[in-house]
Amino acid sequence: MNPLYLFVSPLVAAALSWMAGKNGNLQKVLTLLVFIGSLGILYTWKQSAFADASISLPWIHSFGVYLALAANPINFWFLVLTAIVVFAAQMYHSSKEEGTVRGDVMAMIFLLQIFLYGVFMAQDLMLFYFCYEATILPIYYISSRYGSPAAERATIKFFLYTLFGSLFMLLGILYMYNSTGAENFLISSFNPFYFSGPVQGWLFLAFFIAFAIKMPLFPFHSWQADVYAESPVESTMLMSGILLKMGVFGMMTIVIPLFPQGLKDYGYIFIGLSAFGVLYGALVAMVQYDIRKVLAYSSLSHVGLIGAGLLAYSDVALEGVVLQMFAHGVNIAGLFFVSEIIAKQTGTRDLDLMGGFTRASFGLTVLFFVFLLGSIAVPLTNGFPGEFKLLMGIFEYNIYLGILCGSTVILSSVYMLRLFQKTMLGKESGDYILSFQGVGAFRTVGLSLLVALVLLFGLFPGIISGVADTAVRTLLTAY
Amino acid sequence: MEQLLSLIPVFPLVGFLINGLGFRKIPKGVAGLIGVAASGLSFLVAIWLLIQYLQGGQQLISVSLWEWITGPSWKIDFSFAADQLTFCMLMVVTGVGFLIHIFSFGYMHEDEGFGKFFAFLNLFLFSMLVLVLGANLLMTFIGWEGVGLCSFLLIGFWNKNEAYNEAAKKAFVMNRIGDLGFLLGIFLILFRFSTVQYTEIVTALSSVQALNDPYLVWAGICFFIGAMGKSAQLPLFTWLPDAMAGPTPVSALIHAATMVTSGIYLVIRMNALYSSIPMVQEFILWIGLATAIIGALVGTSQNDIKKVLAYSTVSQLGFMFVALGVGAYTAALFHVITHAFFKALLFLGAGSVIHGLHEEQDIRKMGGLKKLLPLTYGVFLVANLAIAGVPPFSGFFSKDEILAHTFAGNKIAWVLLTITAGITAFYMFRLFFLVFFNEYRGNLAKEKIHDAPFSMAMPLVVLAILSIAGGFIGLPEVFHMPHILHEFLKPVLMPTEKLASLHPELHHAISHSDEWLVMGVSVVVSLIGIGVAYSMYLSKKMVPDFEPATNPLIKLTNGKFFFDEIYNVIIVKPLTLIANIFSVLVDLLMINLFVEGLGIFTRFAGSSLKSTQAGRVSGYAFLMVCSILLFALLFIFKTI
Amino acid sequence: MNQIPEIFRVIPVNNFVILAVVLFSIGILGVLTRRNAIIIFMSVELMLNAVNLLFVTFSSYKSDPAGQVFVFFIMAIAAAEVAVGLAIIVMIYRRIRSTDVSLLNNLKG
Repeated sequence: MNPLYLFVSPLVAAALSWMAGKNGNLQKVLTLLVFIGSLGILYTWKQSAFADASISLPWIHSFGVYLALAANPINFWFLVLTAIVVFAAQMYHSSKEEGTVRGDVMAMIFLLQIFLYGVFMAQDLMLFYFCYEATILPIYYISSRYGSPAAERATIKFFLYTLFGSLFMLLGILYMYNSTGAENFLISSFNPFYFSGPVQGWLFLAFFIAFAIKMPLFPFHSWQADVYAESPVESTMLMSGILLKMGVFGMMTIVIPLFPQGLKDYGYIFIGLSAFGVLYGALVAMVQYDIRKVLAYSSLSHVGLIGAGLLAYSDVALEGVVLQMFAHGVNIAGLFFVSEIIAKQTGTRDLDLMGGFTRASFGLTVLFFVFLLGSIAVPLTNGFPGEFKLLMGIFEYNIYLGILCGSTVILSSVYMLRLFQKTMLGKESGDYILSFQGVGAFRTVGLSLLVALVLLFGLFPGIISGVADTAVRTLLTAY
Repeated sequence: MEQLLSLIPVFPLVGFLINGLGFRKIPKGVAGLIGVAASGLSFLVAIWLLIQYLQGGQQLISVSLWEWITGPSWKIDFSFAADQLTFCMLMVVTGVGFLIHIFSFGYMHEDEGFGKFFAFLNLFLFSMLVLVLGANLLMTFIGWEGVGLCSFLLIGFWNKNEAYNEAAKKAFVMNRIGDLGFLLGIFLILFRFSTVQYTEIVTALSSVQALNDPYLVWAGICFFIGAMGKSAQLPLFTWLPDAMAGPTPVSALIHAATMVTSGIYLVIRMNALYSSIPMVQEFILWIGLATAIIGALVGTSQNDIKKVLAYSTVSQLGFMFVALGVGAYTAALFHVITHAFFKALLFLGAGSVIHGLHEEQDIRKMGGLKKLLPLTYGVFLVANLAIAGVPPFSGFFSKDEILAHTFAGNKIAWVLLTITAGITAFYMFRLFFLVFFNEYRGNLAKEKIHDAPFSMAMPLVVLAILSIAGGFIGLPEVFHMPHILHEFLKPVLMPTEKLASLHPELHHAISHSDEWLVMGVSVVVSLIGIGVAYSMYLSKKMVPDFEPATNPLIKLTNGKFFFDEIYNVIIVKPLTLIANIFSVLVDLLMINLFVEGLGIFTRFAGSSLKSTQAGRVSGYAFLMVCSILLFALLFIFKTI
Repeated sequence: MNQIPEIFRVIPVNNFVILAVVLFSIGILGVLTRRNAIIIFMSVELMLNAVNLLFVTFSSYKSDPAGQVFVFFIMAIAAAEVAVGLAIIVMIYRRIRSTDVSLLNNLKG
């Protein structure tokens, strides 16, 4: 089936949701329809083993840029995660209080979904770059318009910093095009043998900067805490849930297969930094008082682990990367969702002003706790198989880095349990308990769905591994 | 039959789901019934399976449910298996678990979180069953982390209290330190043998002839770190006393009978590994010994009934690790079993006291309860005699076996351990006399103090019977009676036997005269301990002060050797300081400076270039003229 | 016809060129330094006339009529430019009530 079909439902839904405006129920319906539609198409692709799931149309003929899209085992789980995280963000927004639902926000998210599908399915480097940059626009719109007063400044910082990184990627892409004399930008037409050792090193650094800022990896992370804290939760969920996976995807499919010499030359520096970032993120998360910042730094810590796994580049590590990025996307979206419900009810994001929320809603406590367990990688949740393989891969690469990254096992429980205790347990510090009207049917169902995913992929990681392992092997043996 | 094996953990899992999802909707009685029934069903199926197992010639029962995690050259299945060791643990876990579930029905009846309690208790049972039934290291790890999680949930059960929540978090985090060790051990094994299945590891290790292979030494240390965390050995033991914040049935089940014995189970399970690395066994010996001594010493001056029992548990776990350290795996398991009986009994008895005295836990406010709580008094006496090692109670046989093997293995360790046994007898009877004898020192009206109701009394009696009779599964050779447990466990310990035959220097024989000597000494020492306690607390009727102690020895032991304070200073405070430094200095200043600096630089460049746009027409005109001149010159000189 | 160049050759061509350059420079100076818009215009006209003079000079000295044809172009364009320019100046005057160009700094950065 043609990849373009995946774009149809979000595109139509974008237009419809713009017109639907404040009508919450209509927005909910659109959310569900797009979600089911996307999953349906993805499922048929999986069942047919991606037979003719690709298309290549000439776009800018004189430069050799093609609209080349393909779904394959490598990007499959990224596409699924896109559908899930977008569903989570829209589920939150469409079930907001009467009158606060905005059609333009929903439309922007659908637009974002289209660009995300484009990024992951792109087989042409220019198309990849185009969609990569384009994803920033909807986020900028939502964050600066609907965020807290400090959001605009934080978002501009994010915008400029990301663009700064992407600039190097653009230069890299253009250099690749020029130097190899390739007539097009198709990824498949590039080959590491075209580039000599030092050149591979420069290209590796150029692309790496862009992706490292996106993910982010220590020390390129300073945009993250403020943006996550000040933006509206929909854009935070999208950023942490799926946008940063673009960096992971780029690293996995472009940088490492095409520039292995660069990886050998410079990889060790960045894997050390990433591993340190795991520890750093965890420690800083331990002392934060803003509920969003705790989750932001926890994200930094987890992504550091994924980054270190990417750079370790063994089959076990890469399998772990796919498993963990999927688990992280689901878990962090759920965590931000729940934390926003709590923050909205207590009227603050300050942890010291919360407490005892478990008495307001036991169901929410359970949902929160399952996402938490997934985040700290307790076995039988989706976080465990990924973390297990990642730690194994990094340990194989270097024992000391492995132990350093292993600190996440201990420290993640510290900051997450601290978060849980300060919000849910203990004595309440306000009268928000009795006035809580419950999570709401739509949200409960949606969150339960996410929780089911947490447990499902914890018990049966083979679902993901079955598809991803072949992909990993393809990537590793490509050249 | 294989299907039945996987059914055993399913009952408590279903109980958890029903009670958890139906919390506050299901009436209390029903919730309790579901919880108790779940544990009971597991127990029944376990017994049935045991009978089948024995009749079927003790063939390994194993079932592989699905492929869980696969790697490039290995795969890990979600699979259960049961051999002799499993059945021993299974009986203890389901049996004692079932009794404690019944006890909780009465004990927790007033609590509004009743349904939640049974849900968590069932979840714990599920995790523990996965732990012991697991057929490979990773399945055990699932249960391992699961019991740590349930420990968190149950210790912090009364979650309005911040101190309890802190204790729960501390337990979980300390356990996780051990878990990291466990994980590293799994990695090492996986790299070397490409499998984590127990049967395959044993086969692979059987080809190892040399002792103390460095790679295996590291693996052994890693697993032991895991055991240290889970079984509260030095230095990872401070979570256990704090865990007393949870309801008493929790302390009985988790922190006496089952979870804390997981570490010992792991070492016995991996005896093929440990027997080939005597270096690590030596290490285990000394850690266990240190733990035993410190636990006992601290227990002598504690004034909370549960804290005394907690430190007693720490100390007894130390005993078990000493046994593992000298290669006496059967003795360790024996003590696990008997300890489960009498320690659970002690905790439940303490629960009965606390319940009867309406939540009083300070022993200085007790006394004279012999007449007021006669049943509790009776079972407490039985348990005390067992733990003090007085024959023919169960504790005597298991402790004696440990002491005998230690005597054969390391004389110094034996001396220290025997002294510790004496101290154990001392502080346990100190507790006993202070609680049950002399005059009642508390403030409650005597009519209000009531003994245990039937639901609580029944498990107490059963456990008391087991504490008396349980020793007979492990009679020493000198009595010329079969050591049932030893015979039963032989197949599991085959690798150890093989290695012992290859390296005779490892094997320490115990002659009959040694055996009698050890037995005699241990009985004498126990009686001395009881005697000293008798004289201090019964005859002289001493009662510990309410004021802080002035005696430095008591200060040291009462203050638990200040381990918590030391940890706070060397770990918690520096870590928090570093975290804050990172958060403020590095993040806000250093890194942001670069990014902000870029912005500031851009703005500076912009404003300096701004000066060219002065808005003066003549200025623009001048620029135009200059440019034209420049072009003209260029043009002229280019053509020349 | 050949006599006309001869008569012109009495006066060296340099004189005309220098005169044209001087006129041009005066014009430029005027554009750059004067503040009155109309004076600036007059200076621009002066520059144009200087160029005209140059064209005529060289056309005469080389007896090439192309130069003088060009002068007509320039005159026509100058006239058009003056018309439009003065219209703009009138509109600006209506706005700022002055012909001083230093008051036109709304585009100041």
